[in-house]
Amino acid sequence: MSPVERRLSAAAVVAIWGIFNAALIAILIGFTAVRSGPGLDIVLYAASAALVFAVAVAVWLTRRRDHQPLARGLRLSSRPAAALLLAVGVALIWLGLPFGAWLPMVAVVPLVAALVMEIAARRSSSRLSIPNRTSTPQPQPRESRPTSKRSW
Amino acid sequence: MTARTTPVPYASPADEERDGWPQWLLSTDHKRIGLLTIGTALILFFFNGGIALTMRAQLAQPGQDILSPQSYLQFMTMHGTGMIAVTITPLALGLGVYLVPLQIGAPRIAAPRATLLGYWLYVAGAIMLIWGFLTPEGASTGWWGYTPLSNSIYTQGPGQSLWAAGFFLAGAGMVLQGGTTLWTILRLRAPGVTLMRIPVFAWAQLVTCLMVFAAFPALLAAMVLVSVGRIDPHLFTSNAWNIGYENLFWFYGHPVVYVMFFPFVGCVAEALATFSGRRFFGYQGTVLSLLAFAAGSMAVWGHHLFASGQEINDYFSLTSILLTIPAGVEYFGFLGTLFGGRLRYTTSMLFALAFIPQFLVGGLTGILVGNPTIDYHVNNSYFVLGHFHYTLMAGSVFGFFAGFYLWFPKATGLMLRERLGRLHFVLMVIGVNIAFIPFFILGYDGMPRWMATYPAGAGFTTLSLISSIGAGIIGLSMMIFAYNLWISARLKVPAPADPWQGQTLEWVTSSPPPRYNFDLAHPVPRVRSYAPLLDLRENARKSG
Repeated sequence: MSPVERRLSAAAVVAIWGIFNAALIAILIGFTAVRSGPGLDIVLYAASAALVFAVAVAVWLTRRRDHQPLARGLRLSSRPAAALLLAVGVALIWLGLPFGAWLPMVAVVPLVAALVMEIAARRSSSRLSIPNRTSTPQPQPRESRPTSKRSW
Repeated sequence: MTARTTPVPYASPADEERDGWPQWLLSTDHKRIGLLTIGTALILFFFNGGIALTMRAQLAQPGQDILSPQSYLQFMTMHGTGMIAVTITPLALGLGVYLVPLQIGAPRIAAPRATLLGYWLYVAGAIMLIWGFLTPEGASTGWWGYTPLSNSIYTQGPGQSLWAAGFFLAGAGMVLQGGTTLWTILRLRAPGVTLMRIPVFAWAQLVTCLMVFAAFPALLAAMVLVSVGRIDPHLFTSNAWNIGYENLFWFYGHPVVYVMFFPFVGCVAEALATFSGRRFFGYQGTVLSLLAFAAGSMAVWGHHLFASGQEINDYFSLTSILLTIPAGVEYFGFLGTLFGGRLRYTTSMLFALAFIPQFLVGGLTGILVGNPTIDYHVNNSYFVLGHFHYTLMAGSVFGFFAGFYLWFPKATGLMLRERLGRLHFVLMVIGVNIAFIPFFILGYDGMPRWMATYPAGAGFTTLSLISSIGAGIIGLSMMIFAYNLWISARLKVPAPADPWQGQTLEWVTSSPPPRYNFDLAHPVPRVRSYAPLLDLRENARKSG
């Protein structure tokens, strides 16, 4: 692995992209120096660049905490219907805009159902069995409760 | 092929998913979510294409009344919003959801349920957009929905509200899909797959997803503003609000063009390298140019406001024209890859080759409209339509088909009919150029967009008719494409794991890939470059 490859971590790439944007913001500020007060364009662009740096920090922090997430095995993704119910709930909230406030109230039902499913999914999370094919010691799956029905 | 000891987990065959439709619709397998996203977007491509054909029928001759002026505006709004928000953007990001984990040796996508949620939000958004279009007072304010025109005083009825809701939901869905793809590239690469060893397509997805993350929240905020304006129409009485909305919208509205472009640059790069039998030329330069291009394209939104007189035109003109530098580096990479290669003219390669000059037309005319003096002249004319239809239709859609014909065998395990593919290609090249070249001349001669008809003596009739004929040919080419899909699904010619002598990791696994992408029969090989399978073939050749 070349030194460039070693230094070019995921967090570094995102940060570099943020720096590119920050440089363009600096030039924009230079162009707008004659204007009084910070314009919306600068605020908007700066907020967006801040989001990028937040991603870089998040990547850096998670990498420190968990160097190789794949090595822990595959977590079973259970109760995916929660995603559909959540989407239905959010859509019903938005439908309140043209059709009145009663629809967001109806949205409570799928949203609560999605929440219940999500909690249940987190409680029953389990991992796939991994056939031992490598010489590298594989981490054992965490203690998990068997689920009666696996859904993906 | 030497398998490497790797901690990538392989699932047993017992972990394969079942094939019923509930398992498909609620699957957290990134491949199924990706295929659902691409499939839904393709259906909507036909729908929005049908809308475009209706508009071209209306404009083929002056004074026609296939559509009333109000209906024409509604069709225009649906075509623009539909193509951008629920067709080409999902095609671009859906390809990433499907391919990125395969290309980086990952067994899954990050946060698969969030990716699934993204798909369902996108579907909900598409339904609401179409629902709004079908109401008697559908949205008719253009795909940008400028205020105060989009508030409840000037645009009454539920159509505009459904438009705002649909745009918001589809945008939120794409943020989720883009976010999970981004996190997958950043955190779930297989051991040995450094960022400088991922394929150009994965890099294109990385910068695309960064742009989604940085720019799409502005769309969500803009749609909330439109919605508030529908509840309280007196909000937008100050012009500061209106200019603020324009800034918010275009802060999304310009980067989304690149979101609809970079993934297809990646498709073209992969197709050119595969069918030239060569490594992609200038990989590091292309990667750097993609990063610079993506950053630069975040800084050009103000050129959409040139004519408003409310923006720093010098800056936005400078940044717009500067984009030619990274674009030039990418083109250099394309041409360098072709140079000296053993070219195979498959359908995928033909689409990739046609992308190069056609997108160049879109890009070069972009430099023209990035210049305020020219922009003032052609603003809101057919010239601008010509520019972005060359960018999106002659560019991005051709890039998509290059990728579609390349990866269809991998995704389905079936081969498409090459002859039909070539017919599709030929008709599409003819149709696109006949349809969109007249736009430049019409626009330069002063034909305004958003007009449901034009006077017979205005000098627009012949070129409008030619353009409509071109649109019809595009429609015919899409029928050929649909027939190709249908007949290939019926004939079921099986695809091998690597039908094209591919270079990247997805070609090492079976067609279609197993649930967790790689298994004991198809392990992730040692990755030493961005073309690991080419490395293996070269090593095998050297060792005899």
